[in-house]
Amino acid sequence: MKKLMLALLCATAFLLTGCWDRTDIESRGFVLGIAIDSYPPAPNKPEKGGSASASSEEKEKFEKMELYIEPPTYAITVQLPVMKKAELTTAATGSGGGEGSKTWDITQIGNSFMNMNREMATRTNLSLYYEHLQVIVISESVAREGIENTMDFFVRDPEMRRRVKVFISPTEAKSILAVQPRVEDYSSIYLAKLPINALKNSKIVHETDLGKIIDSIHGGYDFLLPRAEAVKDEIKTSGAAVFNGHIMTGWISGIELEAVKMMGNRYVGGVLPIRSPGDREGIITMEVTKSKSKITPDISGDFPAFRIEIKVEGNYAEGVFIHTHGELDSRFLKNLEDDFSRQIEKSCLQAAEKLQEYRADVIGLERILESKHPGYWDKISSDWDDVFSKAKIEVEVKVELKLTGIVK
Amino acid sequence: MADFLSRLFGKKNKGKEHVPDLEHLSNLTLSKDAIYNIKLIKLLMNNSFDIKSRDFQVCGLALPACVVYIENLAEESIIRDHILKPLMFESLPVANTGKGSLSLQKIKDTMFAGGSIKEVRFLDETVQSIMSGDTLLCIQGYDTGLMINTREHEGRSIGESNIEPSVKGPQEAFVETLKKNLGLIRKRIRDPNLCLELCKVGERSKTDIVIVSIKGISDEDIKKEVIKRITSVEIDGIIEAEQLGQLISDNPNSIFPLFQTTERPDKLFSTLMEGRIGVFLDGSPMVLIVPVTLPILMQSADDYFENWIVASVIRITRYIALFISILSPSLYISVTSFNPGMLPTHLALSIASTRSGVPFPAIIEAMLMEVILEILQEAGIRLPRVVGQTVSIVGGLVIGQAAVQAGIVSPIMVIIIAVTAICSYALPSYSLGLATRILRFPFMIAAVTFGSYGVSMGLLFLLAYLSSLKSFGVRYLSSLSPYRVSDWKDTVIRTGWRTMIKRPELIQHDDSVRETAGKGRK
Repeated sequence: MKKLMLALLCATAFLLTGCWDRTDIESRGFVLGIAIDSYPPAPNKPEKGGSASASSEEKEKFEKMELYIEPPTYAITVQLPVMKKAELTTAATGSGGGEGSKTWDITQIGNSFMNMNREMATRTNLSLYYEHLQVIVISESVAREGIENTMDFFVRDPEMRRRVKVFISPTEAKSILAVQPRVEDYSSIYLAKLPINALKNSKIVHETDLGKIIDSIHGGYDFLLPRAEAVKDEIKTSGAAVFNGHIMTGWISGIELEAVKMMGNRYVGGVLPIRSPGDREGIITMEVTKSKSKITPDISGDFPAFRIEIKVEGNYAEGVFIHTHGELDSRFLKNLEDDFSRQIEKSCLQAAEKLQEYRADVIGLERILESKHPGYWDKISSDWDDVFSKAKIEVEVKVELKLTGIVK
Repeated sequence: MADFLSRLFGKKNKGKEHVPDLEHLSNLTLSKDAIYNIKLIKLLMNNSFDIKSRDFQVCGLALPACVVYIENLAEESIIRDHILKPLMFESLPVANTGKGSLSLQKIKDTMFAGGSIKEVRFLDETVQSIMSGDTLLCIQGYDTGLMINTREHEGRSIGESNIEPSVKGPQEAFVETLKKNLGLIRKRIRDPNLCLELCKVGERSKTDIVIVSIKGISDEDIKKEVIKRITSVEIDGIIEAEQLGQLISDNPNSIFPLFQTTERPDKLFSTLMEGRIGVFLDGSPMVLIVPVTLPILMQSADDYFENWIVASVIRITRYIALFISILSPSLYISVTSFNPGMLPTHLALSIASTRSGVPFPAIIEAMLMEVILEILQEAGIRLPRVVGQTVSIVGGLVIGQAAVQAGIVSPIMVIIIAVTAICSYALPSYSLGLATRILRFPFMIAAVTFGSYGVSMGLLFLLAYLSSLKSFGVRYLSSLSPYRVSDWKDTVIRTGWRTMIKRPELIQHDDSVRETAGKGRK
C-alpha cells in the first residue's frame, strides 16, 4: 500500500504538471523564409514613396515596435504558409487556390532580431517555429555593412538548422519572398531548391548552407554567396556576392563564378560553349564531367605566386552551325581541346583579377599557403588581403574530351 | 467401508446434498458381489441416466456377470460384439477346455480379441475409467473387475489450420481429440525417443494432459519443471491449452505470452527438434509449447518453407511491423505535438493543413480512433457471420471517410490507425498482437507527456522489462540478450539450412547436432 501511494505520488509529478512543450502542429507558424533589409529602405526604391496611402501608414505603425533602443536599423520579413482548411472541404466547395497569396509575409522593424521575432507574436495567432526555415535572403545594402550581426541570432538560436540556405539580393530582399512561383507553393522552398541545379549549371553557388557561412565568418575565410533576383513569378540565381571577411565587397558574374569554382576545385557540373576551331560559325558545347585543380604556391619572390593547374574532362555534347563534316578525328579533337583550354585559362585569369580587385580570396589560396608554408604564412597572415591582391596567379588548363556521342 | 457407506447412504436418506468425493475412494475396493458393485458405482455417479448396466449370465454356467458403461462415451457396438456376445454364447467351449472351470483369468486371457484390458480393484480407478468411456465387467465371486477399453473417439475430423494458415506448409491442424493429435505427431516423428507422459489436471474434470518431448534433445530440467508445475495446478476444470499456459506461466501478470500455442503439427515437430517441450490437453486443438522467447514468437511456419533470403526479408518486415504496431500512434503524437522539426518540410505542412480543421489535439484524436479500432476488432470477432458485412461497411466507410469529412479526425490519423491495425495482424502470434495493441496506450500517454523523449524512454522501459522476463528459466530475449551469436542464424534472419547444423543453444542438448544435410555434405 505504501509502495502504491509512493508510485501515485510520483505519477502526479508528471500528470499534474502537464505537457510543457506540447504545441499542436496546426498552431505552429512554420517560418519558411526570412528576408533581411536595412531600415530605412535604400533610396533606390522610388515606388514606396509614390504609393503612400492611409492603409500603408497604418501598416507601418504595426511594423514598427516600441523600441528599447532607437533607432531601428533592420526590417525583417518572415514568410508563413497560409494553411488551407482541411483539403476535403475545399475540394467539396470547389474554391481552389489562386486568389490571394499562399503565404503571409510579416515585416517587422527594429534592431535586435530576437526582439523583432518576439514582437511578431503580438501580430499572429501562431507560435513562430523556425525548424523548417528554408532560406535567409539578405539585401545587398545589409550585406555591404557586414552580415556578422545579422547572423548572430541564427547561429545562437537552437531552433535554427545549419542547412538553411543563404542568398544575397541586389534589390529589396522582401521582394524575393513576395514571388509567387508557378510549381511550388511557397517561394522559400522554391528558392531553397535552386542550388541543387549547380550540378547542371556552374553559374550557381551551391555551398550556401548557413553552417558553412558561419564557419567561414568565424574562421576568417572569404566566401561567396549566391545572388538572387526576382521577377513576378520567378527567381533567378546566377553569379555571386563576394565577401571579404563578413563584409560584401562586390559581385561577380556567372561566367566568372564558373572560373572561380574551377580554380577552387569546387566545380560540380556545367557546360561550356566555344567557336569551332577553323569554322567561323560553328559552336561546339562541352559538358564538363570532371574538373580537378591543383594549386602550387611559390614563395621565392616578394609576393607569393600561385600556379593553378586545372584538369578538365568533358564530353562533346553538341555542335551547331557546323559546315564542315566528317572531320571529328583525333587531330580536330586535339585542336578543340586546346581551344577549350585557352578559353578557360582566359576566363580564370579574368576572374582572378577581379577577385584581387575585391581583395577577397574566395578560391581558397590562403588555406593552401597555410598548410604548405606555415612559417611564411605566419609572417604574412595579418595583411593577407594586401598580399593576395598583389600575388601572381598563373593558370594552366588541360582539357580532355572523353565521349563524342554516337554520331561522327 | 461400512462406515463410509452408511455415511453415504445415511446422508442421502436425510435428503441432504451429497457429493461423492473421489479421494475417499482410493482405499476402497470392489466387493465379490457383482450386483452390489454395480449399484455402488451407479450411486457414486449420482444415478445419472446415461450410466448403463447390463446383467447377464456367462453362458449357461450360472455365473452372473454385469457390465457398466456410460452410454455417451462408450461404443455400444464393441460392447455388444466383443464383450457380451463372446461371454454369453461362446464361453462354453472355453470353459470346457483345459482344467478347472471358467476363471476370471481365463476369461481375460482367452475371450477378448481386441483393445486393451486391465484388471481393477480399487473404486477410484474404476470410476475414473468408466468416466473416460471404458466398460467395467464384474463377475460374481471375484473382487477384481475387468476394465475393457471401449472408448469412442468421435469428434471433428482433422481439418485445415484456420488460426495459423500457411501458404506452402502442411495444411493439417490439431483437433479436439487427444488421440488424434498424438497420432499426428507420432506419425511425423518415428523416433522411439519421443516420450509421451500423461498427467491429469482438474479436481473435477480430470483432464488428460500429455507432455511430449524427445529424449536427448530436450532439457530434462525444463521437462521436470513443466511436470512439477502441471501437477501442482489446482483448478476445478480446464478447457484450453492457453488456460493451462497461464496457470504454469512464470509471470501470469505479463501481457507478453510466455508460452507458445500452436495448432500446427509441423510447428510442434520443429519445436521438438529444437529441444522444446509440447503439452497436449485433451479437448483443446492447441498445443502448448515451452519455453518460448520473443524471437521465436516472431517466426512463422512459412519462413522455413521458403528460400532463406526471401524468408529473411519477410521476417525483417515482420519485425518492422512489430515496431510500427506498437509505436506509430505515439510517434505521430510526439512528432506533431512536440517535434515537427523531425518531419520533412512538405510533410509537416501537409499534416498541419489537414489538421487545421480538427477540433481535438492529436492525443484525443489518436485515442478516439484507437478505441474505435479496438471496438471494431472486437465486434468483428463476436459478430455472427451473417451480419459480418455490416462491420466492414460501418467501420470502413462511416468511421473512416465520414469522420474525416466531418472534420473530427484528420486523414493522416486514419492512415496511421489503419497501418497500425494491419501491422498488428502481420505478427505470427495472435497473443503477441494483442500485447502490442495494449502497449500502444501507455506509449501514447508517454508521447503526449514527454514527446519523442517519452517514446524513447518508454522503449527503454519496455526493453528492460522484456529482458527481465523468463519462460521456464529461459530469458525472453534470448539469443539477442543474452546474446548467442550462433543462434542468430534463426533470429531476425533465417540463414540457409546447411548453416543450421547445430540445434539452437537456447536449450541444453545432449545431442546438439542436427542430422541434416550438413553432415552428409562434408
